[in-house]
Amino acid sequence: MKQKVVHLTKLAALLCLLLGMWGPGAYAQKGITVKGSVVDGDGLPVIGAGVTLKGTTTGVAADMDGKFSLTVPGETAVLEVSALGYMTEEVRVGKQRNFTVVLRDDSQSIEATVVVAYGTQTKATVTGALTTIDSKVLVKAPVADVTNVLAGQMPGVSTVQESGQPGEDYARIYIRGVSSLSDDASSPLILVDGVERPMNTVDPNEIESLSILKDAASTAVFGVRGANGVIIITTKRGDAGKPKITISSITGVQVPMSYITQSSSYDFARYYNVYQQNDGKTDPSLYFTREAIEAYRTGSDPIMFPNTQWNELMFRKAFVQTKNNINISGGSDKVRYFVSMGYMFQNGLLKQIPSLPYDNNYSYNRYNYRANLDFKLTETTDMKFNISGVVGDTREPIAGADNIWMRSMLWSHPTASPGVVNGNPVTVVDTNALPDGLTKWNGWEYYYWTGYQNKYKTTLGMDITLTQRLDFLTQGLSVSVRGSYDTTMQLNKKRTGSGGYKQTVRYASWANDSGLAMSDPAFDRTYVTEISGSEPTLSYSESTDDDKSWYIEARVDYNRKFGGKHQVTGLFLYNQSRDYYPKYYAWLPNGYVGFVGRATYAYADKYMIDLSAGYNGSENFAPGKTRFGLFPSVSLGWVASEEKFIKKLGWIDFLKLRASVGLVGNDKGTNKSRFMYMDGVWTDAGVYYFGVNNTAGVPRYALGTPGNKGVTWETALKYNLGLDFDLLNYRLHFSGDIFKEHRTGILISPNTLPGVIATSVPNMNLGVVDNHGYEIELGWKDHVGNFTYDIGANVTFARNKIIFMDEVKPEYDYQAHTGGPTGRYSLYQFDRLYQKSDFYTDENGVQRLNPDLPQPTTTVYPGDCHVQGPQRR
Amino acid sequence: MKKFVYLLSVALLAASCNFLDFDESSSDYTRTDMYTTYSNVQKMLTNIYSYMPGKDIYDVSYALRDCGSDDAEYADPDASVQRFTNGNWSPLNTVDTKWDLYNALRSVSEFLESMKTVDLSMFQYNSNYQRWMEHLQYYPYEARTLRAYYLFELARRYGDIPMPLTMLSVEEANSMEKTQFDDVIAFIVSECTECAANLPQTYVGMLDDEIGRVTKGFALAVKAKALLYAASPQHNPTGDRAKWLEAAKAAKEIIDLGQYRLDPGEKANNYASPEVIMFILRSESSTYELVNFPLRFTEGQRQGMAGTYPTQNLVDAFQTLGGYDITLTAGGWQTDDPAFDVTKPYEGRDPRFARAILANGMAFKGATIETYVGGRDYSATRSDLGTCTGYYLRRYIQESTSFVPENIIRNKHQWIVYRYAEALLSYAEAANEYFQDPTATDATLTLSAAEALNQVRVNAGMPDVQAITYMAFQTAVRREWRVEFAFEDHRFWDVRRWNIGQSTQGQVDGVKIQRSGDGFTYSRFTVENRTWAAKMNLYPIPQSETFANPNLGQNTGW
Repeated sequence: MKQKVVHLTKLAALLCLLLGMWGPGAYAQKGITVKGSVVDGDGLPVIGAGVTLKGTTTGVAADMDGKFSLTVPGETAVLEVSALGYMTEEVRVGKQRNFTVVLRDDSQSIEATVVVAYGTQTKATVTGALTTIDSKVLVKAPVADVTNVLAGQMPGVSTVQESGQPGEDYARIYIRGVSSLSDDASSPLILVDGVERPMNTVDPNEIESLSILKDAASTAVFGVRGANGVIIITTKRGDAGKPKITISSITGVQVPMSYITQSSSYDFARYYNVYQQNDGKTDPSLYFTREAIEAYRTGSDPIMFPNTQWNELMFRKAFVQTKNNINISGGSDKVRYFVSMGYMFQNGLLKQIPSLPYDNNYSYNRYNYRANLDFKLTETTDMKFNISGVVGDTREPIAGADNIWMRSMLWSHPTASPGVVNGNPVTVVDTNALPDGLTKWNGWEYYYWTGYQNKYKTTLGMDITLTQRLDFLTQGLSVSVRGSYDTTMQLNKKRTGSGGYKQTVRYASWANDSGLAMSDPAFDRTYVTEISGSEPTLSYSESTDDDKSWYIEARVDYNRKFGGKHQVTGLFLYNQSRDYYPKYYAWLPNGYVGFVGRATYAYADKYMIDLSAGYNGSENFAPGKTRFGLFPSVSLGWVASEEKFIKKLGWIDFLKLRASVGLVGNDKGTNKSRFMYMDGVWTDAGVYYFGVNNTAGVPRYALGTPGNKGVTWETALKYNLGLDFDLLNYRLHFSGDIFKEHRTGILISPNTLPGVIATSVPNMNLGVVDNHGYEIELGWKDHVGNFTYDIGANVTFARNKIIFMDEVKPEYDYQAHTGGPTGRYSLYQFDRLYQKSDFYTDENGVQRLNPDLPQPTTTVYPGDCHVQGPQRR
Repeated sequence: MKKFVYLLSVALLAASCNFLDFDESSSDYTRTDMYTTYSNVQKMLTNIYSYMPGKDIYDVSYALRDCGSDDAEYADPDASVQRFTNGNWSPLNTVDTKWDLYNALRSVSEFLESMKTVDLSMFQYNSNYQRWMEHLQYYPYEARTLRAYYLFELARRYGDIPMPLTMLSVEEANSMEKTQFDDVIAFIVSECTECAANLPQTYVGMLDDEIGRVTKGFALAVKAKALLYAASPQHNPTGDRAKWLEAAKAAKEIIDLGQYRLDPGEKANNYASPEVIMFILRSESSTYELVNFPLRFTEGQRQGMAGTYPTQNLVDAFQTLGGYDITLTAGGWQTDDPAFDVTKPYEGRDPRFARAILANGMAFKGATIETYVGGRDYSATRSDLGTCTGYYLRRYIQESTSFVPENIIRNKHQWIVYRYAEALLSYAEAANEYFQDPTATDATLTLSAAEALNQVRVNAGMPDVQAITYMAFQTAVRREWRVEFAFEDHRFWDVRRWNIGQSTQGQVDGVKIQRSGDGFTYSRFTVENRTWAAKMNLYPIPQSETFANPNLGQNTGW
């Protein structure tokens, strides 16, 4: 089995090659001397690459700059350039005397292996739809969470990032769009080293490969959990050899893309007055006086009549992020190791207020570590042991992060505060010039004077795998067992308090109630400040949370090639897992049992057939008929480029057609209400009174939601057709898939039941959603001299359609969700603003809406929104 | 190899021992748990009681349902109770649907089914066992009477209704047909007849002295009420006198029971009143007072508009002590009563007036109500939170309730579902309609309509009715319903069952009181013009229901 090796430093290659292939022995010969350099796909020199004269043992190794010089017999000579981890290139000498040879990473080779469900396969023989990402890309992207790297990198994968908060900026991942009726039921299964684990427990630097399995043929073996696609992450392992050290460090600044620009105080004041006029107020009673508006316009007094851009007052323009990793790998024949440690820090955007002694800014510190060990116990027995962990420390202000833009930016008024004056923040600008009536929203109040909390989260994962090769029984047979135990501990420390000094500012003539008008020459404009608030003490509280899960698996593998042409593989696997959430009763442990079988046959690497099936049970379903389900799939592949008539053409390097069909399941619909198959229960519903002078409140018990004995998994029938080709000496790469999915039995609550059934009804396997789409990946790789380039593009299109969701027929057909895509909102459509001309003044001087317009139940004024009626679309 | 065989067998063994079966202990009650102890069975029955449609302010957005009739106006113009009167009522814009009563009906079905198997004999040596069993024998009949009452509440809203008597399956609920109004009534009557024969007259003396439970009297009351509605013009367009006979006979059963008598004192909030047949008892609360007190007594606790304010239309129904009509016109009070002093229009009135309504000059919480222009309880506009009619609500108000921060007082309320006077007025109305003569009697109906009505009037301190013709008596008895049961959830329904919405529900008026010298001048003004249509005699069925079950159909006109 070939290992895919990715070079992070060229030092490694040098070591390998010096030890392995190349001794001194190249000597000069009569003929032509050619020179050149060997570079990799990134344009970096491939140190120690072997350059030989084809058909001889004559050759040299490239030097530290990747340069070589070799004497060849004549112009018909062919140079063979090779290096470990790269595909071998052949170059005809011809008239050329100086060469740049670009070696391609052998992960692009059809001989390269890719990680598939419960194993690996050579790329050429893969018949399902799967995508891998170059692990180099994972490290290059300057983002904190692996999930965000995936955006746009691979066809068929979409990500949605909902928050930018440090430590909370992970993205939700969808494979081939959303195929079920809820987001929860549409998330893929994520496996790290064969065990279900959250993706953010892995540092990108530790990832050897990341595969996305998309069609039923790839995921059917996961049975009830495979319907939404599967992401398989494999971490790096050590190679025998001297220690290889890799250090990476990225530090950067994060800058918000855009802030909402607020209006100036002057504009705000004028528009506010217009709004009041529209609502029927007249000049002397308007909120902002002419003097105030004038003061805002001229900026003559930036303290009493401020013009504050709250984003400048509260938010930093840029903040730091740093990611660092060091890893060491190496080993001997008997023991190999990969050890990695990482540290990441992300700072937040809140500025600090001088009068608050504590720091409530958002931040995230992450420390992660991993040790992957391989032991060769006997000649035929291998053991793998992995231990890894993440320690995260998130800090955030108590008020929470979700509405940061909404609350502080949209609601705050530019007139509300001049900011910090003489070391203390001004929270009230007491302008007697303005009558009461407008609460001046102060952007500060939502994030400061509230305290902060730290969330410490520790994740520890361990897994061990024991493999016994049984070639002595029959060639290609092996068995292995694997077990894992993962724990998570979380501690939230909350420091709450409303203390902290603030101040109110007013003019002296207002502070002493002189009664003078602002226009009076005697009016004293000296600022009088009044400190308010208390000492900034914080109370302390804490809460903890924990989670643990285990997984065991036992398997038999068979892989053998007969007569050089008949490649046969077989797999039988049993697994069992449980996830505990001991904190709340509602989160009872989750258990799974699975049997997996797979058989593949390939003839001459040309024709492939792959049969697989998962027989899986979920604890969510009732014992008996509905608990276990069989999920079969079949896929076929034809590597046309192995056919003679294609080979003759010469310009087609690789051409493969793939087709698959299969059934996959999903049990996630029941996450929030487990054990739905059990009978409903009675719970306390309050009291009702009986007895003289109603003294005795008698408790009453009411039935909750009854059980649904028939609850079971939703199933997806998936079809996939794919075409891959490489042309023009592997420079042009194309991979395309079209897919179709029919998902049935989605758990939803029935909607069309009349009220007379008089009970809440359990969720039922009723929903049906169809999904279809295509994916195209196109790449071009070439070099101009030493400059190599690589252009890639991918397109994914997925469109789903609700076939059935037990929807009550709405009043107007266009309001129906059925027949449209999932996740649509029903909203009012803005039509126009009410204009002055829509109103008349009645005999009492009251402004009224013209009678020929539709009459809303609430009073409207000019400037209010008019929404379209339901008749219009 | 041995190791592998060992591990594989361990793994498969683990799978075989029902790894996925539920093995956590549960703190929830299963059906079996609920029917094995007395206290749990009691909880199941109590649950059925809890669906009693309120007579208070929680059913309809803090308003009394009577704000949907000409008796009252609710201050908040955007409250859902206004849908009854502002033309916005529709299958999409529903109010007071009471569709949750179907949950109660399902609970009854479940309860009756489970009660068949209840066996508490394992507790037979428990000291309370005999007293439990005494209660337990009534449980099924209490549940069935409540079911009958809930069906009545649904039928008087919707007319023909789905009448599920079992726990419906999804398929049954989806195809449920409506039962005709008359058949619903027939079922109520047969159920109540059987239950009345098996229920006790009172629970006082039994375990916990549980007032508020269904008694024989209440079973008869539900029957009488159902038959009265069935005989009324809304459901008896041909004027079938046999229906009136049934109604009169049912009311007479209550009269003949001898268990109840008229109470000259206050019945509202009086659990000891001998007149009341069924109460809804509530714990201490001041919400009712908070939304209905004259504003100054709420100590600023009332935020936003609220309040059920009695109309001049209702005030005009209260006669003078001498039994004369009195009405307010734009120019002042008009009455033929020579003894009545029109400068003091709220004195010398039917004594029931002061029990239902707070008017200008009345004493309240040690102060005097001032609703005249400029007075302390006067509101110039609706948004002032005070009265918009010139009157405040008095019925069910616990005067001692206090919002003064250092002296917060809350009171218990006891809401009347049925009291003896209703049996008498039902009888008076039915007998007059049956005989077409208020003074007639026969062998069955031994009491004349006039006698029954006059009992109520005399008890209230009013002279006998003068009306001796059928039509004059009909007017008198309808007035008596309005006066005797003001704000006890009657008028809203009576205008529907008498088919008189068109002539009565068009407009509500208030009083404007101006101070002049030492006295006041009074004038009538229009508070609100209202929308009425014949379809409003019944509620619209919520659109979500008619869409879900096409067999329901919609009520005429909606």
